[in-house]
Amino acid sequence: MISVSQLTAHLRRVVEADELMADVWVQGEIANANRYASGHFYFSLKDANASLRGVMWKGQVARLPRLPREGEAVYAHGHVSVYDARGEVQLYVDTMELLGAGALWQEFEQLKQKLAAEGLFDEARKRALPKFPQRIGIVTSRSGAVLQDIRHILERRYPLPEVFLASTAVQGADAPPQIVAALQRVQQVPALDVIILARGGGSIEDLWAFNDERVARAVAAARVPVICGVGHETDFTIADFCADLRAPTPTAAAQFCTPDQNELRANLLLYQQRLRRATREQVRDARRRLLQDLSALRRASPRAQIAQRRQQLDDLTRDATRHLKLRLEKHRAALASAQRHLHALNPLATLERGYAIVRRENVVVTNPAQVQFNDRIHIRVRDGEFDARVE
Amino acid sequence: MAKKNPNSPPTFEQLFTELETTIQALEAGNISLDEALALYERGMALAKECVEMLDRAELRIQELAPGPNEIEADEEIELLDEEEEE
Repeated sequence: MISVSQLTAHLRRVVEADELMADVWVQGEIANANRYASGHFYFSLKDANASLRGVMWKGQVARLPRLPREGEAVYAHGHVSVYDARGEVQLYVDTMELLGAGALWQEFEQLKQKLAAEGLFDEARKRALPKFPQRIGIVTSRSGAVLQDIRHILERRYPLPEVFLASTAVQGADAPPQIVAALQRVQQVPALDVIILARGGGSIEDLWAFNDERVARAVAAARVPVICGVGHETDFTIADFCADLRAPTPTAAAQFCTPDQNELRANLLLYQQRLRRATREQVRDARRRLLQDLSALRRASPRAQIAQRRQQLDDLTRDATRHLKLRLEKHRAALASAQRHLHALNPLATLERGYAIVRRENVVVTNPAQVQFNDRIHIRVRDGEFDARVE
Repeated sequence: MAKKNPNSPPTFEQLFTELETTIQALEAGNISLDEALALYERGMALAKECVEMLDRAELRIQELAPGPNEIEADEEIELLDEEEEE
């Protein structure tokens, strides 16, 4: 009877005693790649039939041109030993040659090139996302954090739209046909504005459904814009390339297709300020125009002309009156003088002085010989006339 | 985007867009004082309505039932409806 520790220690000694185990090159594909905060790189090296745990220490990882990708084919060099704590045989890799695309990556690259050649990734196909979506479709798993994350983002940023969830499996062999069906289902919603296709982070195998040709074609064929947020920032899937917009994460997808209500509210305040300012300016302009019109009107007013003419008229009237008066005075003076003259010549004027005119049979008597005794004569004095007889 | 029924109440987008054009018209000038005041009133009413729409809004999520021949694999029951009843 021996202890587990004794057995694993023995196992290690047996393994390490083998010459091949001490210094070996292995060809395989990287899977379950995991780099811890310590900087050490843990992975599985696998081929079609077998898998082996591997580890590469921090210092050796640092000498690689880059970290090997999931599914990438590599030549790994190192030695094999046993990790006592788990009784696991492990490959301790000291150097690695990166061969580029592994089988999965070859599949990925082939599909990518094929769909690119068909024009499915063309920029011209990409539609603009609505600025203010009213109906958002979400295609993702109904369980898990992704849906809740998206929901919280929408609630915080822009809670106005109606949201329709078409839930689907997002990993495993069933996932591709389910995702296709969910995409079709959500498009039944009338007047849908945008579709969010999302899945949280995971290994490359977990995300593989989004590299499926059926999913890619369903995304490309969608009648409304699709925004794809699958995995993390560094994960690119074929569905991403087919979508109208790739978002680095599911939450980013929710952000990209909605306005932020804080910005909207700030804008609305700003708009109100602009309305007030523009209106004040309009009122000020109107007042200025009015004042200008008023002074122009004053300048053009006939009132001033009327005043002028009125004065001219006054002047003319005064002149004319004076002139007329002068002439009148003159005539009046002439008339008076003529009257005086006439008066002096008037025989009747002598009567005034007490003289009398004597006539006999209408002939003025100026000589006594003209009359005989008892003749009847006619005498005129200042205030009247009478008859008399000569004695 | 689908055209909305003209009888349905205006959408946020319609109000917001009208607000923006109203401001532009007001700022462009060359309008009578009456028009300016009418634009001001309209703009302020639009801004108020936009804010109220945001205040009133509550996100509604509904799940679309899958068709009969679509079976959810590995169903993890954490139904949304339960949460919506809160």
